[in-house]
Amino acid sequence: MRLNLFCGALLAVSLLSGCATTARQDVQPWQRGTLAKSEMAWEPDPLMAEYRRQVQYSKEAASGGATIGGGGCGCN
Amino acid sequence: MRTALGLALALMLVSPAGHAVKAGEAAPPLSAPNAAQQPVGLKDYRGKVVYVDFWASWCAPCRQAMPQYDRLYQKWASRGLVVLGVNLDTDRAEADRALKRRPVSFPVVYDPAGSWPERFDLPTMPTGYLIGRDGIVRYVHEGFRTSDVPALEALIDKTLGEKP
Amino acid sequence: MTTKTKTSKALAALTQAALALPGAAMAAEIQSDYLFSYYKEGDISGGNKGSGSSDRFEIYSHMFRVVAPQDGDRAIGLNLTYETMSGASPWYIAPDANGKPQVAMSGASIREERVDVQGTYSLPIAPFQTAFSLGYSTEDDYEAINAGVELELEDDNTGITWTGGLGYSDDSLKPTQGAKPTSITKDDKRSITVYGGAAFVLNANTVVQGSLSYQNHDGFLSDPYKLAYIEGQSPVADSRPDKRQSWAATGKLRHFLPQYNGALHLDYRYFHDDWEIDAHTVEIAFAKALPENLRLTPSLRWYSQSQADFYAPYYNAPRSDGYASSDYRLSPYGALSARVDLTKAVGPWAIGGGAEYYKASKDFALKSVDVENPALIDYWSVQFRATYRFE
Repeated sequence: MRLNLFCGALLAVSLLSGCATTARQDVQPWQRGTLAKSEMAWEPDPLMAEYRRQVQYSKEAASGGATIGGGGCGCN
Repeated sequence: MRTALGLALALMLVSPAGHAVKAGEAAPPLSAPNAAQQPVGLKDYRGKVVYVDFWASWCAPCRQAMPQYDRLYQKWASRGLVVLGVNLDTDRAEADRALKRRPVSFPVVYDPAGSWPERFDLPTMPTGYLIGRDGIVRYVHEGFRTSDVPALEALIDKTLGEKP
Repeated sequence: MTTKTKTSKALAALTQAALALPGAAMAAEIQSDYLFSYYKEGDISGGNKGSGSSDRFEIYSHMFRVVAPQDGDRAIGLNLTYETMSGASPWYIAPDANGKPQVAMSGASIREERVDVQGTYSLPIAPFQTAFSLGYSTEDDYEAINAGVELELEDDNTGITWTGGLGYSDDSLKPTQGAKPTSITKDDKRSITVYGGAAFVLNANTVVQGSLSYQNHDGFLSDPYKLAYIEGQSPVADSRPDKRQSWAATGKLRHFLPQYNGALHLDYRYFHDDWEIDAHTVEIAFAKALPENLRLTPSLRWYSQSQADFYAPYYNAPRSDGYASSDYRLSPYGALSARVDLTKAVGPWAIGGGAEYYKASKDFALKSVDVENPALIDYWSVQFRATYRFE
C-alpha cells in the first residue's frame, strides 16, 4: 500500500514536470483577469479556511495537504 | 521534487521568449480608442518621450504603479513627457471603477481585446515601455515595485534630456 | 485538551492570489481580518449514552490576522487565535446487556482557553518567494511550538507555480489531574510535515493544483483522558503506537463559469497512514458574484475514513500488542457537511458570515460499517467575518 502510494506520487510529480516542460503557457499575462477574481482563489477566505481546517483536523483522522504545521493532539 | 523543480527552472531559462519588443527597437504603432471613442496613438506624440503603461484593474501592482506614473507625468509634462495608459480589462466597467477610485491625469486608451499587448508580447503585468523622442524603445519595465521608482525616474529624466 | 492545530498556512495566507496567478503578485495594501465563530456539538443520542453528562463541546473562537506588505515583495504576517471551550467529552465505551456499545461521558463539564500566536515573514530569495513562520500555542494542559519554511516558484512561461514546505512542531502535554485519573502526568510529541505541489493555469478560466504531503509523528500519540473497555477487566488507558506516518495526495480545481458569473471549486484528498486508515475527502463549492458586491458560496463536503487497525468500540480480550483505543476519530465512519457563506464588499471593508452543519454517521462511509461508534459527532457552527484593507 505504502509502496503503491509512493509510486503514485512519483508518477504524479513526473507527469506534472512533464507538463511543465512541454506546455508553453497559452494564457497570456494580460488574459488573467478572470483568474484574478476573488471567487477563483484557492481559498477566497483564508481565515475561514484555516478555522475549518482546525475543526476538521481535531475531529477526523485525516489531515495534510499543501500546508505545513499540523501538530496538536486533537483530543476530547 | 527537487529534480522536477530544477528541470522546470532549467527549461524556463531556455524556453523561447517570442518576439517581445525590446530596448533599441522601434515601438509598434500603438493606437486605441480613449474614453470618448477617439483614437489616440503614439503618432500623436511624435517628438515626445512616451511612457506606455499596460495595466488592468485586477492587477494589484498595476494599481500601485499608476499614482507614481501620474506624479511623474505631472512633474515632467512640460518637458515633453507623456504617460499613455493602455487598459486591458475585458469589462470596461471594471476599468471605470478603478479609475474613479484612483483618478489619473494622463491619457488612457482601451484595448479590451488585448491586440496591442499581443503585438508587444507583454512579458508580465504591468509592463511599461519608455519610448524616446525618436520612437525607439529605451527601456522595458517589467512588473512594478515602489523601490523601482528612483531608477525609473532617473532614466526618464535622462531620456527627456536627449537631443532629438 | 481540545481542538488544537498550528496550521500556519504561512505562504498561502501571504500570497493567496499569487499562488493562483503567476505574474499578478501579491496585494499592495495592509490587510486585517477578524473571524468570530461559535461551534456547538449535538448531544449524544439517548440510545447511545450510558452515563455522565450529555452536553458535548461548545467553542467560541476569535481569530485575528494582519498582513503588512513591505517594500521589495516582502511581507509580515501575524495571526492570533483565542478560544474558550466547555463541555464534556466521551470517556470510554462499554457494551450494554445486548452487546450494543454505549458511551460513558466524562462527568463534569470542563472549561478552558487556548491562545495561539503565529508570526510569518515572507521575502524573495531568488528564484523563490520564501516564507518563514514561527508559532506558539498554549492552554492549561498543552503547549506547542512550531516552525516552518515554505517556498514558491512561479514560472511565467509554463504557467506553473511550484510550492513546497517543511514544518516542525514540538508539543508537550500535562494532563489536568481532575476527578478522574489520567494515564500520564507529562509527555510530549514531535511532528514533521513536508509537502510539495504545483498549480497550473489550464486556460483563462481554469486553474488546477496538485500536491503531496507527508507527516511523521513521534511521541505520546494516545489520549490521556480516554479509556478503553476490555471484557472482564476494569477499563484501561487509551494506548496507541508512539509513531505515526501519513501521506496525503490532494487535487484542486477552480473553474469560472461566465454564464453563471461564478467559480466552481472542486477539492479532493486521499489520505493514508500506517495505522491503516484510508480516508477520502471531496468538497464542492460554488462562489457566485451577485449584484451589490455580494458573494454567495454554498458548499458540500463528504468525508469517509476506515478504522485504525488497533481500534475497536470495545475489546473482548486484550490485544497482543497492548494497544487499545475506542476514540471515534479512529473508528470507521463517514461525514457530510453543508455550509453557506455570504460576503459583502463595502469600500475597503468586506463583511460576511456563514453557517455549517456537520454530521458523522456509519451510513455516510464509503464501505459498509458493522458497528458504529456511539460517540460520533454532529455540530453546528456559525461565523461572522470582517476584513479591512488599508489604502
